Amino acid sequence: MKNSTALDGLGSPSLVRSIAEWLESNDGRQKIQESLSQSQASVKVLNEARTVDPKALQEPVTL
Amino acid sequence: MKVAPYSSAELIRLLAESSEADEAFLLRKAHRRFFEGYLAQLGAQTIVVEPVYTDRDYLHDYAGYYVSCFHAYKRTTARLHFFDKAFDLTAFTKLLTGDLSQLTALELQDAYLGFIVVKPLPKTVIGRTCLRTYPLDAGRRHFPVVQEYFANLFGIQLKVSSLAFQEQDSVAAACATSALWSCFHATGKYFHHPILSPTDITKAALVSLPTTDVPDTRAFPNRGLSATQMANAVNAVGMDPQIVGAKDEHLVKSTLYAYLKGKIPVLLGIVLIDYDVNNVQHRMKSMGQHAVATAGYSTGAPAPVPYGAGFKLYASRIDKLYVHDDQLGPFARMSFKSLPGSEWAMSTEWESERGAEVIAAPKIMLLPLYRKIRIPFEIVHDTILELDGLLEAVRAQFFSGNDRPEWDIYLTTVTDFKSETLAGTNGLGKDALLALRTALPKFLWRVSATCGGVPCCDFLFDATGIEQSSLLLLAKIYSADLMTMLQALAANPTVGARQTFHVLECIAAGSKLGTPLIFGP
Repeated sequence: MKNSTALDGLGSPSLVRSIAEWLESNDGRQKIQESLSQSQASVKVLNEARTVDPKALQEPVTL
Repeated sequence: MKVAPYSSAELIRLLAESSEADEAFLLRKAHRRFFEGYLAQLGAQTIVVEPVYTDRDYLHDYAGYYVSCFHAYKRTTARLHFFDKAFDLTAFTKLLTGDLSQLTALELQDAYLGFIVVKPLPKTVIGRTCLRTYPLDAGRRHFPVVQEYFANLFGIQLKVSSLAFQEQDSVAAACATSALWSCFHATGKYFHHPILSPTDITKAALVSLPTTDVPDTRAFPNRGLSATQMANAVNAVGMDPQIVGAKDEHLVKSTLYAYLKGKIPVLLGIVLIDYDVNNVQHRMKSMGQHAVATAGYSTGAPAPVPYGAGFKLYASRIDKLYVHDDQLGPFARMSFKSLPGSEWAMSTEWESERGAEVIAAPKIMLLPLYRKIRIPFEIVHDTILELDGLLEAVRAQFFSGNDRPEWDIYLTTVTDFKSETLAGTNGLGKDALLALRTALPKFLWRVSATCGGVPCCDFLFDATGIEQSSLLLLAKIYSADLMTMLQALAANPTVGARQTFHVLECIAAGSKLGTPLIFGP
């Protein structure tokens, strides 16, 4: 059976190239860096919220 | 055998008649108010009483505790069956004798709302309860963890889709035990582990006594469990307990949704607070810690609530949870609620002693996980959050006319995924055959996205793998614009955390590798 995972002919190769070039430009790098910083900030907030205080694990649930 | 028209007063009378509780006490219980409202919503019209019923869970508790009491408690229970159709004893008796002129077994099944087992105890009389859920309301309400429960009523086989509930008896079980018991009813059937009785759950939780967690607690009578002890009970049935903090609203909604949709009920640890917004000096009065089993959710918000820098997640549409609260009843509603400032909490159906309202502040989520589910939700969530940010940078620059994707992340199984693929409901189209023939792990993280309501991509991640490796198993990109953005990002994959990098790397290599499967539009 032929593996049909090929992506040939998808999107616009010239547009892919243009975006890739922009990503390597100063503006593109800056935008990507900003995006990554924002994602990291969100993940940091989430990681803090995910963390359980070990003392809380010992507290009785009595109601 | 009794058949009676349903009313709140009749229910109380039957509960008192079938137990050692008196009517005056039952009228004061929060359960009375809850069941009155819930059964009215379900449209109950008739109650059929099965006066002698041997209930497995009560029998276990009876053997474990009540049998050795000086007072001779009964070993059998009564069971009340509810129907949303009016009929009387004559019609029901005729049905039992084969005369179908007034009532048929099919009509009885259609009208069946479920049952309540009544324990022959002086106060905590609500035993195993399986009642129909709220109506689904055109897809707004979801109850993914319900099971089919069968009841044989004098030879008539009836069934109801529900999740078993029972009130804590404060002797063999505390609230956490009851919540665990409800969770185990779902996971036990789904993952084939034994469903422990409340007594056995308490014993498993308190496997190492004495404990420093709850120093004044003996196993029986039981006053309460800590989160660590609850985790012990999960471990005792062969599941892995994972405890996650619950301080962030987005985190709570996304995590509960991801596992509930994957048919895993989550035990929610909360602090109940008597909240009087008009009382400036004592606005919040802590009532104590409580545990409930989440059994469903409502996606009532018309649009997702953007998180952080604008990340849109379908789970953020959740406005309400349906929980088994042993102090109230099954499918009790808890709505997400904003408090002054940036605080948030959940409203409850508890009654305030001060005439205000009782709110809940979530503290922890306890996930009872099958041991092969090794990759936690957060890995996939954080990968998609980062990928979405990268895509957004490109979208804003090159495709500003397109909507930002709304992501849907949840646990699923290979069986469910392939069934959907075979049925043609997941949009794989021409690629379905290859996806069906490909071996996939038992548990998968499914990530779907829509742009402006139109599907734009579908990812499958291995939920059983190891975090250091690439977890992406399948990607189907429906949108040519999205594929262009991904290909451009993939051409420069020097950014992003490990899994994001793997996703882009896989998409870049999609034309060369058989695994993962990368399907274009």
